[in-house]
Amino acid sequence: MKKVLLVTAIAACFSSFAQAEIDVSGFASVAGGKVLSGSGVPGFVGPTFLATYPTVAVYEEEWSFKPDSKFGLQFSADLTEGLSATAQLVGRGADDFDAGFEWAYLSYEVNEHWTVQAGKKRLPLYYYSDFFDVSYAYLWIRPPADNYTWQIFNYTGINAQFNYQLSDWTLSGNIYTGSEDDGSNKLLSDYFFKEPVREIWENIIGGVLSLNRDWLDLRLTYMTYENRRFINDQPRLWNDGTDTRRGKFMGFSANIDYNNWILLSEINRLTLEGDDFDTYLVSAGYRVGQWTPYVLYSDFDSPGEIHSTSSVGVRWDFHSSAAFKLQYDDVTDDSLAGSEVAGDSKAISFGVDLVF
Amino acid sequence: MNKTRLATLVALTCYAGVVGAEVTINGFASIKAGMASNGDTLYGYTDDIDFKNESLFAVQVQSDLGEKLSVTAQLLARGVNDFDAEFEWAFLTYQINESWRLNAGRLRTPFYKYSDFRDVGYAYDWLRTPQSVYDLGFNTIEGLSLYHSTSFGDIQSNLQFVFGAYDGDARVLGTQAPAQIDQITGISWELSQDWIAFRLAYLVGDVSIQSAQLSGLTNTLNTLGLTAVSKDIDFDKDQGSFFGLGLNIDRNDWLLVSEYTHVEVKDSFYAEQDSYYVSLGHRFGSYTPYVSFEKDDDAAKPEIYARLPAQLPPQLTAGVKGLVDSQFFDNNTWNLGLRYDFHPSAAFKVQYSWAEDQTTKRKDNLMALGVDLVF
Repeated sequence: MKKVLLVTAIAACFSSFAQAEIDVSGFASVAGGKVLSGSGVPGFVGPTFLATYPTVAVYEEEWSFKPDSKFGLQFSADLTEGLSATAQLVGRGADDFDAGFEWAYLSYEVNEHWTVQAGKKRLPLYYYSDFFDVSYAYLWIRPPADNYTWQIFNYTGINAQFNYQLSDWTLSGNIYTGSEDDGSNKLLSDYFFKEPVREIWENIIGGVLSLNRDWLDLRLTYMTYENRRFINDQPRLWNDGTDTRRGKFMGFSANIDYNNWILLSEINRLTLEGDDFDTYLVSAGYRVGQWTPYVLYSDFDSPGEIHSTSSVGVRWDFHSSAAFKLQYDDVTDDSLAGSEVAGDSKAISFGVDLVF
Repeated sequence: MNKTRLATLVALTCYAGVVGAEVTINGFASIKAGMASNGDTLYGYTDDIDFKNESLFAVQVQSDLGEKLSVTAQLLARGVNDFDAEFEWAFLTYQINESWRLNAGRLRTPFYKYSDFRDVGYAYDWLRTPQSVYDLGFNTIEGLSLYHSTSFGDIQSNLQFVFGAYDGDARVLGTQAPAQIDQITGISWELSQDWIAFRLAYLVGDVSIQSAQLSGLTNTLNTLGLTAVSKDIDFDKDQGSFFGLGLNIDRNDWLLVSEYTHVEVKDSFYAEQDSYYVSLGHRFGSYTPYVSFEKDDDAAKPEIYARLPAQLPPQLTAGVKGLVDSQFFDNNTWNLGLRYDFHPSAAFKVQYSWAEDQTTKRKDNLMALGVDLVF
């Protein structure tokens, strides 16, 4: 108990930092890019490549180094006796590098298989959700925009993680519940509605199950939530006349890393008010020394909104903890009139991702 | 003093082979209070005492990843923004060789002698950088910066090339408006020898600002077919340029600091702005008193309204004329101050400033004091 108090006191007093059991680590991405050609959406946006939906990371026809650049600092304190605290401070170029806590949670290790966590975390919908900002951890410049579209990406709540070894297989997963009340949702306010939108996802219940062995990695995800939305403080009424609608999200991904071949895939479906929003991605890469050229195709399909992206790129691991990437994206927006996102576009981007 | 921590992995299981890197944390802080004379306003102060306006805290995290690569992030919280923190610096550094270095990310724009550390009050003697010169509405760009340092005999040369873009707000007619400055390209060069340093900076960029303050007027002009006049007023990919000169002398405890800048945005109503300051100080042990003079000389562009047709509604002509003429500014400022180094890494400062608008003869006086420190 004395030790816990000591650590807490030190954490509050920066000048004594050197004595605290706090680990500081971080990640950074600096990327530049531009739209080479694009149709835009007449009356809505000019030639635009929407690289990441939730953060509204937008490339236009002039060189910009903001959309995919981001810096993160992670602080973790081991309070011993199974208890630890983790905070991650992230600033994204798309948010003008405003610093905010993306993660802020306590972990309690119940036993060697189970850990309970409480606080603010990334909503683990997709395969890349947990490390979306840590671009060094994946092959591309960014997870494909067509798949990672949902406007809510954090939640505050409680979760239980588990990890079991079954002969050659590692079985791990996560069960979580919580909510997110985003007073001014960036994607909906700044991009789609152009007026203040408060987006609430509540009564979130979800689970993730991962199976890994050697070169194979399988992941199943399911989540259900209730959605309320306020546009200019007025509650949005859904098709059934109420202000609450239930969404269900499910997904599956299979990844293979074998003999320098990397094959990545992910398929997801969100069901809202009887409509299905289907997304998938497939990607292949081949490692040649420090170089990994890759191709990527991703797709979004719903009753009104339909778009896909074909990408080709290369990752160059020029450093033991940094990689240079160059990527070309060709977006086709086949959405029905009124549901277009950003129109067709061809864009180039490059950058360096690192961890420290 | 630097605190060094051995960092561990980002708590992710997904990437392997990452070895812990050294993380260095240091920072700086300023706590300042100021109050203008009765009825006066200057640099954001009014005649009520204010502790937030120029106070700030910053933490800087640096990590050397080895193999010539390092990363720097500076989290800065300004009192004037309610101490909301943002990454003011966020860049990667690649040391190409002994004399060449590349930075990429969010960088300080190298406009001024003290651009890199204008927030680090401890680094200079004044209570604040001379505002007549240090008054461009933005400090940072996102992009690339290439540095070259070398010496010719006992002359040290530091050359910096910069390329990038600014995407944020700019102050137009007293109101913040969304602004973009694209294709910013620039160079700065500093030569120093023992007690003397000379600096030169030149930057250009394409300036676009969507100002609601302007759009009413430009829309009216466009409706009347006066698109050429409208284009002479608005900021629509108009070429902006910045030119700066600096001279520093530090000899026999005498300190002379001086900078001159010229800023203009072609095809806009923005004035051609000339500014300079001269500052003279003397070190007496841990006390450094100083006096400085600053000048703003902003020339309006009456040629914009000279071309308006005579039959226009008079209120429209007056609107254009008022807008253009509002850019005219002829202002003198004197500062008298003292720096007292009461601690190895902290300084107390007090500065009295009085500004006089040479046209309106309005005078504003300000007293401010505070502590700057680094850790």
